[in-house]
Amino acid sequence: MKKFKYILIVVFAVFAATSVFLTIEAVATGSQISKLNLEEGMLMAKQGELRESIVRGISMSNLEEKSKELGFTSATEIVYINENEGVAAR
Amino acid sequence: MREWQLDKIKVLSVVFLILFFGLIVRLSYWQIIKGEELGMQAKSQYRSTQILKAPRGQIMAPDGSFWAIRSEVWRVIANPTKIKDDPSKIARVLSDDPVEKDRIVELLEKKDLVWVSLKEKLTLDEKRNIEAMGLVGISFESMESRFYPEASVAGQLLGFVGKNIEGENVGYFGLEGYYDLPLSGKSGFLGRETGAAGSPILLGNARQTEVVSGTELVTSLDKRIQITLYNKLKEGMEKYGAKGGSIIVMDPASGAILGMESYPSYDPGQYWEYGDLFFKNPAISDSFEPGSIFKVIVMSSALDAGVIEPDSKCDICDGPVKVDKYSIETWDRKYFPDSEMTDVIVHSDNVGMTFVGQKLGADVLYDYLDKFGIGKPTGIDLQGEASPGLRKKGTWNIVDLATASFGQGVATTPIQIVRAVSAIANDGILTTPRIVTTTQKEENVRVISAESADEITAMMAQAAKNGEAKWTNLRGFKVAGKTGTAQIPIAGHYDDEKTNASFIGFAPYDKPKFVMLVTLREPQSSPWASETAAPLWYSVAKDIFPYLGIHPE
Repeated sequence: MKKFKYILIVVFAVFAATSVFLTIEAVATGSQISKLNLEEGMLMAKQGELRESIVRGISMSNLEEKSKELGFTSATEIVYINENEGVAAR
Repeated sequence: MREWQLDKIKVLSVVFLILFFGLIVRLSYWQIIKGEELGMQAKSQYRSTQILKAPRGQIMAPDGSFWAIRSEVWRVIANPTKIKDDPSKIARVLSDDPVEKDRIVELLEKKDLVWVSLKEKLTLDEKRNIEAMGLVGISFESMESRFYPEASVAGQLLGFVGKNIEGENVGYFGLEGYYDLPLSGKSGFLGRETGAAGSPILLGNARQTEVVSGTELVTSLDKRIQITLYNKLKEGMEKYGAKGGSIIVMDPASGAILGMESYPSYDPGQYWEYGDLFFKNPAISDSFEPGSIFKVIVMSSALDAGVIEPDSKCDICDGPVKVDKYSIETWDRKYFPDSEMTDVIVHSDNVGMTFVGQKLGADVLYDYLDKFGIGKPTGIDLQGEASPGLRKKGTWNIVDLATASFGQGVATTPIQIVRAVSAIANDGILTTPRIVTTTQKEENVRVISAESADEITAMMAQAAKNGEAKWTNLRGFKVAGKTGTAQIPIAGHYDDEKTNASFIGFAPYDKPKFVMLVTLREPQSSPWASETAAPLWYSVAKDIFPYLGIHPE
């Protein structure tokens, strides 16, 4: 009977400890998730900003303006050259 | 027990009974009368709900570059009850404009409010700068925005994203309007229990509906071609003093729109700075009398109906022709007796076309125009397409027939003309113009026979080489084209001076890679298309030829 009493106490103790541990874990993980959500939001904002700056950088209208500033101009005349044809048979 | 003790117990019992009833009444008040309200308050303390916004789909060019991307901007919000700094100091940080500063100060002084929006559309850098100041009571909310990297290029074609009356993002006009539903996606929902610090409780109840992101649209709009159209049209508008203009470039075989530009245009990223008039796309929304470019559609119909042959002779072409009480003349008052049908197109002969119209008859012409898609929407995937109707079949009189045969008295849109002429370039098969690339097979319809298409193509090639715009023709390139100078109808008659100048053409005529229409509204340098729209067409074509791999013969 005494032995059974001890077993019951141990089981209760284990249950109580586990329950306290799990509660602490859940709260800690919850706050970690909250932090990760915030971080995800910030990273998404940063990603959006980077994507926008890349797209702005490779925008053809911007590149065209920049090329003009640097002195590049498009060809005014295109000369088409025919393939040389043989003039004498071997 | 003594009597005084019994009396004390009785008094106490009564006191406890009163207290008990008081407690019951109070509890009933909190439970029954205030129960729902308190329940809601408690719920809001431990339950957090969040709408997960679906990211709007992006619009892409065929090479994988972007026409429109989603971007993030920020709204500055304040809780006036928590503001500790001087409102005018905060206002100075947010704006330089005195009126705007006064508005912000006024908002910050409303101490009965807990949420006021101070400024919108802040960039991440601007947000960081304000955050660094550590202003108490000031926070930020993320807002989805739209970024159009090419600014005004293709503005009317793309449309823009604005707000509806509920403050939600909605696409208006062009692609943004037409594909608003697939681009918008579907918002999600996240409801979960949170602790006092706002962190989620993992063991609590949670409910989540997944977000469905907006569809990414891949278009056939080629950036290189589109920017060429934008620059050339702008140049042409200044050079010829036109009030407006449009250029459309289409692949006749697939119906894919390679470029479509109208001027004046607007920047969809700054749409609020422009008036409503800028938003409409003239290439699909403006109706106009096409003039002589319409002759190729009427002539191809007559060839297909078998009422004429390319070498048929016009027996009324020796002078003006009288139709009812009207006299029909040629545009330059030059007449070519017994001219063949090819010459009628080359000389853009109104009398010759009257002859063709008479041969064809009103009902047959109507049926062909209907088959070519004139008078009905083309089905292009853009919001705001107009479709001016044709006069009802059976109600055309001889004057209607005569004028329609040379493109006056009928209203069309530029996209309808491009589609109809694309059928000629595509061996007589009509396609549906499309901007967004689709794997769905479109139902294409044969309008005229391949032989008739070849015959009218040959006539158009002659017109490009020997017609009134021959001076601007690019020698060696296989171009089939036709000019069109149309008078503008005003209050029941035609304006004597104002015209719409157009040039439609395709190249190379034996295996066309593109069909292009240039339309200029009321050019001032010359009323004639051969001196305005045609040189602009060739100027654009000169840039497009090497890009599309089109070489001279």
